[in-house]
Amino acid sequence: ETITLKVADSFPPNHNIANQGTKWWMERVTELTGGKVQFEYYGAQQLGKLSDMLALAQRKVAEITYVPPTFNEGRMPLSTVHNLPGLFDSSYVGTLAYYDTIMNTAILENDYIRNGVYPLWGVMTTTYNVFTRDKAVRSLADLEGMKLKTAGGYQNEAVKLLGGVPLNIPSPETYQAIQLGTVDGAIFPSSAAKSYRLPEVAKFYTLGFNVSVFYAPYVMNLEVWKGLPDDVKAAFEQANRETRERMGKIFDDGDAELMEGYKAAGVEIIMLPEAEQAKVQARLAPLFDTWAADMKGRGLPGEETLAYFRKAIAGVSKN
Amino acid sequence: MIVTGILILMAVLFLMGVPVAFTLGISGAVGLWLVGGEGALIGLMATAPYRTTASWLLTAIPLFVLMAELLASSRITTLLFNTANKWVAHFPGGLAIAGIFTAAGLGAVSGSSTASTAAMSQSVTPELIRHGYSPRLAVGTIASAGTLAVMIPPSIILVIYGILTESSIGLLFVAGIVPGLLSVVFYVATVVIYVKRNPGEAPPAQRYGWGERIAGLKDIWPMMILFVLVIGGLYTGIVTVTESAGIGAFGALLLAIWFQRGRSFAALWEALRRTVATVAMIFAIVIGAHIFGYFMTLTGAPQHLLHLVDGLDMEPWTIILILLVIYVILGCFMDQLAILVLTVPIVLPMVERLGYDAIWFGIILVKTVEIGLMTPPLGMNCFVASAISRLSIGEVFRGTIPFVIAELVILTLLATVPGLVTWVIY
Amino acid sequence: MGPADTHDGAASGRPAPGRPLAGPDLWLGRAERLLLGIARIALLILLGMVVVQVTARFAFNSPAGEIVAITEAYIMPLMVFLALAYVQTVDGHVRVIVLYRLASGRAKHALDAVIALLSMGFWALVAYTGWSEVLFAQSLGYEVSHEIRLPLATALIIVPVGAGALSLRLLLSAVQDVLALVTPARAGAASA
Ligand code: NA
Ligand code: NA
Repeated sequence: ETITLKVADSFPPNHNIANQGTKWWMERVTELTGGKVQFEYYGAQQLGKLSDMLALAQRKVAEITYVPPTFNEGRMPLSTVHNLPGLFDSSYVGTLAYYDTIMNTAILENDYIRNGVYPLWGVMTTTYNVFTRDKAVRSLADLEGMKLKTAGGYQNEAVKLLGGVPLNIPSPETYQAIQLGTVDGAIFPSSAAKSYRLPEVAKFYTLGFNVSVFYAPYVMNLEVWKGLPDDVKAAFEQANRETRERMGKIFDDGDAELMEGYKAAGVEIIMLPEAEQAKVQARLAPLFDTWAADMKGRGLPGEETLAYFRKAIAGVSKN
Repeated sequence: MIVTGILILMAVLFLMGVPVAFTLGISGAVGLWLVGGEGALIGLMATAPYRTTASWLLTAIPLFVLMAELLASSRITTLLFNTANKWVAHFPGGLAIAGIFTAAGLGAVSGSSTASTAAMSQSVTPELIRHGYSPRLAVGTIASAGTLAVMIPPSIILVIYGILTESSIGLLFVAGIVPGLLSVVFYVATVVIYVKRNPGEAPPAQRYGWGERIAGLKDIWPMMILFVLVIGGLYTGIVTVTESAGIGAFGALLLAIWFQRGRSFAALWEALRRTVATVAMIFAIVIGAHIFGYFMTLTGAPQHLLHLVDGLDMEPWTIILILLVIYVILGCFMDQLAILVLTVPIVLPMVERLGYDAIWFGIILVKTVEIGLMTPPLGMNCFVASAISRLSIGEVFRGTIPFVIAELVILTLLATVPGLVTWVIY
Repeated sequence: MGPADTHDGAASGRPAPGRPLAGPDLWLGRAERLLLGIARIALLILLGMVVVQVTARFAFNSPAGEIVAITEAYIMPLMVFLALAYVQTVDGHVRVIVLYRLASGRAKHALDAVIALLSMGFWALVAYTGWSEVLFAQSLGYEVSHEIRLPLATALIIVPVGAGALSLRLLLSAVQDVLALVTPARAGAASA
C-alpha cells in the first residue's frame, strides 16, 4: 500500500533549496519506491514557523520537516560545529563531510535520536559574508565599528571579534534597516540575500570573511523512520545521498551565477585579499575555544566532534 | 465536506455569542482533529499559541497601543483634536477627515494595520464621538482608515509578498504610495458624501475665526514633538520600524509625566492595564485565526479552488476578477498573512502567465487584504475597533460599509487601470 | 475606552452580587489580578528595553544585550497569556451579541453556561498541550536559545499558566450559570 508523508518547511516558493532540492528529492523517493511513497508538501511556513519545525516532526504533524541547527541551538547544541568559521569553502565538501560527521559522532545520538528525529538530507549553503550599504569593506580594518545585522548566536561573537557591532534584526526588516541606514550592513549568505532583496539596498558585498555557513537539513520523525520497510529505507538513503551530492554541486556552481546577478544589480563584489583573510581567521580563532568550552560545560564531546569534522573535510577534499 | 461542516459550526458559535477568538479556535481545533487526527490537533495546539505570540515584529501592537493610551490619558489627543476641529469644523465631516489623515500619518511609521487601528480606536474614536459624530460613523471611519497602514509603506504584508514572490520590496513600497494616497482621497470623499446624506451623524458645520485657530496651535506642540521623534527616528535610520513604536510610546510617557505631574504613576499603571487587556484580546484572535488557518491548510481547500481556476479557459481579466472574488471570500474566514502564504505560490505563476505584472498584482492583493480586514465575519480591524470602542461588532461592520464600497471602487480602478500602480515604478 | 472598561465584581477582586460561589470567585479574581500585574510589568520592561536598545546603539554604538531574544521568549507571551483570564472577567473578548441579546433570564444563563463550557474546552486543551510541551522540553533539557541559557520550560510554562487560569474562570462561570439556572430565586436576582 502507499505511504503518504507530509513535508513541511519555511522556504519561500521559489527558493532554490525547495525548488531544486526538496521537490527533486520527493520525486526521486517516489520514483525509487515505485510510487509506494507519496508526499504532501507544505512550504512557506504553511504549517508553522521555523522555530516550530522540530516540534512539528516530533509530534508527527508533518513526518518530515526542515530543522536547521542554527535556529535550534538550545536543542541541537553539538550540531553547531558547522558554524565555526573557515573550516571549508566548498558547499559540496562541507555537505558530505558534515553528513559523515553527523552519522559517526555524538551528534546523531544527542541532537537527532534524543530529539526523536532522524537526519535525511541537508546541504551546506553559501557562507555568510558581508553586505554593506555605502562603505566598501576592503580590509579587516574597514569593518571596525560597523553596525551589522547578524542571525544571533555565535555570529554575534564573531562580529565582535572582528571589531564590528552585531545587531539582531529580523530578516524581513533587514531590507529597510539597510536602506535607511539603521545598520551599515548585514552578515548574510549570498543565496538568502537574493530572497531578501539585499542587492537593491547594499552597494558592496565582501567575500572572504566566511563568518559561518548555514546548514539546511530535513529530518524525519524517528518512530516513522523506524516503522518504514527496509526497501523503503534503502530508497530514502539513496535519494538522500543523491540529493546531498546534487545540492552541494548546485550551490558551488550557483554561487558564480549568483555573483553575476549581483554585479548586474550594481553591487560591487569585493574579494578580501589573502593576507586579510588570514587576519580574519586569526581574529576568529578564539571562537573554537569558546565553542569547545561551551560543549564541555554541557557534558558534550565538542573537541572530538570538531576533530572528526576536520578529518572528514580533509578526506572529502582529497577525493 | 469537512470544510462545509466546520464553516457551519463556526457560524453557529459566532452567532451564539461565543467570543470571536474562541469561535475560531474551537472550530479550527475540531477541524484539525477531523482532518489530521489527534496528532495534528495536539501537535499544532502545542506549538501554535506560544509561537504566534513570541514575535519581535509584533511588539509594534502593544507599543503603539500604549502610546495611544498614554496620549489619551494625558489629554494630549483631546488638545490636538480641539485644535484640529477649529481648523476643519467648517468642512462637512471635517474632524473625521482629520482622523483619516492621522491614520495615514500613523501608517507611515507602522507596518501593521492592527497596531494602527488599535491605537486610533483608543485615542481618536472617543474624540470624534465627543465632538458630536455618531458612534457608527466614528468607529467606521477609524476601522477603515486603520487599513492604510498596510498600503502606505512600511508594510509587513508587502514585505512578505516581496519575499514570497522574489519581487523588489523597494518597488512594492514605492508602488504602494499612489494607491495609498488614492485611498485617503476616496475615504475623505466617502466621509463628505456620507455626512451630506446623513447630516444627523456629524456635528453641524461651524466656522472658527483665525484668531481662535492660531491660538489653538499652542496646544499641539506635544504632538508635533512626538511626530518629529517617531517619523524622524525612522526615516533617518536611527530606529527600525519595530523600534519606532517603542520610541513613540516612550515619548508619550515623557509627555504624560510632564502633563500630569502629581498623578503620573497612577495614570501609567492604568494605561498599562488597558493596553495589556487590548493586547490579550487581539492576540487571542490571532491565535484562534492561526489554528483555523492550519486547519484550512491541511484540507487543501483554497489550493484546490485555485487549481480549478487555473484550468479555466477564459479571458485574462475574467480570471483576475474570479481570483479577486476568491481573495475577498477567503478574507472572510482566514488571517490575511495565512492567505498570502497559502495562495501566492499557486496564484502568482498564473497571473504572470496571463501577462500581468507581479508588483501590480501585489498591490491589488493588498487592496483585497484591506477589504478582508473590514468585512464580516472575520474582519480583524472591526473586532479591534469594536472591542476598544465598546461598540457592538454589528455597529462597526455597518459603519465600515460606505468605506468598503469605496474600497471596491478603488480596487476596480487599480485593476482596470494598472498604470495607476505601475507608472511610478517603470 | 477599551476591553477593560467595564468593572464587574470579579475584575476588582470582589464577587458580583447575586453570583453563587462567592469564595472561589474571590480567590480566582485575586489570582487574575496578580497575573495581570505581571503582564503590565512585562509591558513596562519591553518599553524600557526598546529605549535602552536604541540609546545604546545610537549613543554608544554598542548593542544592548539580547533584547530581541528576551522579548520573543518571555515578554510577549507574558503580556498575552497572563492577561487572558482578566479580559474574560470584564467580557473583553469581542463577540457578536445580536442573537445573544434576545435571550433572557433562564435562557441566558443556559446559553452562558454552554458558551463558557465550549470555550473552556478549547483553552483547557491549550493549557494541557502547553503543559505537555513544558514537560517534554524539560525532559530533554532544552534551552531557550544561544543567548538565553535558561531552560526552555521557563518560557513555555507561560502558556499553560495563562490558558489554565482562563479555563478555570470559564469553568467557574459555567458552574455559576448552572447553579443560577437550577436555583430560580437566584436566577431572578442575577438577571435583574
Ligand atoms: Na505602513
Ligand atoms: Na473579512
